[in-house]
Amino acid sequence: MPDLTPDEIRTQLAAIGLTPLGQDDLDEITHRINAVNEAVLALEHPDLDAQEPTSIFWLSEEGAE
Amino acid sequence: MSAEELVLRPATELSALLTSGELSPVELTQAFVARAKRYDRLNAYITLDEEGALRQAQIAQAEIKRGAVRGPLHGLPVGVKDQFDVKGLRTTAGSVIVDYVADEDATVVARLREEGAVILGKLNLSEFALGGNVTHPHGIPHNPWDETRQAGQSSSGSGIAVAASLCAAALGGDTAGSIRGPAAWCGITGLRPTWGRVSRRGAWPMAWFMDTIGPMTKTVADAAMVFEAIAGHDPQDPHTSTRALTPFEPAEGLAGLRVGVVRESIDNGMATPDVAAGVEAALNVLRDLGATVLDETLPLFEHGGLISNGLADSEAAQIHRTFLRERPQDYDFASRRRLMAASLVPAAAYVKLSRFRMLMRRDVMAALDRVDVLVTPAQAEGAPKIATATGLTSKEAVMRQFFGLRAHRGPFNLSGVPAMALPIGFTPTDAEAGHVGLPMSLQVIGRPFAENAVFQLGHAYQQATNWHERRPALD
Repeated sequence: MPDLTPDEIRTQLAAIGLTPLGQDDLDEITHRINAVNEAVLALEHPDLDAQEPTSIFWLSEEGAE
Repeated sequence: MSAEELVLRPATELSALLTSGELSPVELTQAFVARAKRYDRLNAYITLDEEGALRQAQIAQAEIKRGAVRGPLHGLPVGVKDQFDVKGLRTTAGSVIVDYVADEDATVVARLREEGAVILGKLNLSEFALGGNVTHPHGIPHNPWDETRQAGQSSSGSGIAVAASLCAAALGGDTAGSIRGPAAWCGITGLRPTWGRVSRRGAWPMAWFMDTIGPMTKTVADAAMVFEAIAGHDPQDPHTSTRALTPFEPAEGLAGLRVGVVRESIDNGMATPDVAAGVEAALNVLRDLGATVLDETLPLFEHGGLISNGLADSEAAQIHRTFLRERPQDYDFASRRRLMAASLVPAAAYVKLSRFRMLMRRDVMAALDRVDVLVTPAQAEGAPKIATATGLTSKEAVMRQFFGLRAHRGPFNLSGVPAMALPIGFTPTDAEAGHVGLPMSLQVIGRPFAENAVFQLGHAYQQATNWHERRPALD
């Protein structure tokens, strides 16, 4: 997957009402999101699709949810 | 023993003296206040409530004198991370964006008060308990073992205050390592309880399904004492457990305890050679105490930082969305960049990370079926120098910083299990790096709600060693 460019990041941020403060902000935000996207894309596991993403572990055992 | 010497002692020792009437809560509070002022340069406190603390101490003294001892914390001066509300005191969450006087105590603070603890003040922290900020609006937290070095994130003030004896015990908060990290670098004991053991009401949130509050103390016995005061169901936090709490009663040695060493946390450069050697030495102590030490594996271990930070930052970005839009200039630049980037994490990535969280938990729980407790280094290295820049000038730099050595605590906050950091020695003196040895720490992980097994290992270790008795040489 190609990296997002700073201009693309600026546009995405603007779409949710966020504005980076200067070029240094924009560059680092771009590095950060590209790193997350690449790392998450690379994660693989044979049981991934069978695993439901439960949020709370214990309370169902106590009858509280 | 003078009050100046007493402040250096563990909270459990002070508790025994206070509740028996041999030590005055007022004198002890005065001694901690004086020391906190003397070492103000460490920036442990945001708010030191001298007047309020002395008033509470006088009440405690009168109650104890007439035989109305509330419990082991009665008259004990405690510091509270400024992430938690304390009635009548400022809450800043380590930021300049939030600043209000709380009109109600957080549940953990209310429970400390019910037990008679003296609330000394509010302790410094990373901005909004995120960790990773470079500028610090309430002063740069300095590690008392080497003041040029970081104290850890985000419960930095709590780590400093306990290590430097500026309070008898402290509360910290841990979403993705924020109790265990500072505890490790400051050479103290810090417990992240089982998620749901301790109420989060009145605490600034980061990621609701990982946020926890726990004790940061000089010893494991101290941690157990404070934990028992704050744990338990709270109707105002519906995600707190109703399970009964069994008081910790230390046993002799560790015979029969199976300890699993997570090899992925040490091997292949996942810890520095010094830390790896420190962990191996600690394992020998555990063997001498009768524990059976086994190799264990968590195949996803190295991804703990990515999964934990990816989820926690996405949750935090949502919490901060209004501030980010309206007051971006008031954030530390590193926090702002981090939260804005996390605002763009795709939903598909969040869902995938959520599924990996459960896969990680499945592995952790399977390992905890084979052994009683797991151990890893709590930090992969000694405390680094205080940062002046993020250094994130490339995608690769981000990956190195956030998805590698930060993995050590992530697997366990993802799994919701209890985990505790305890001191196991110091790195060798390094003249080139300019220090005489930095604290190293072992992370002990237990099954859900099995804090007592974690305490047992830690307490037995501390009975056999004296690392927890070391105090930084402050002038």
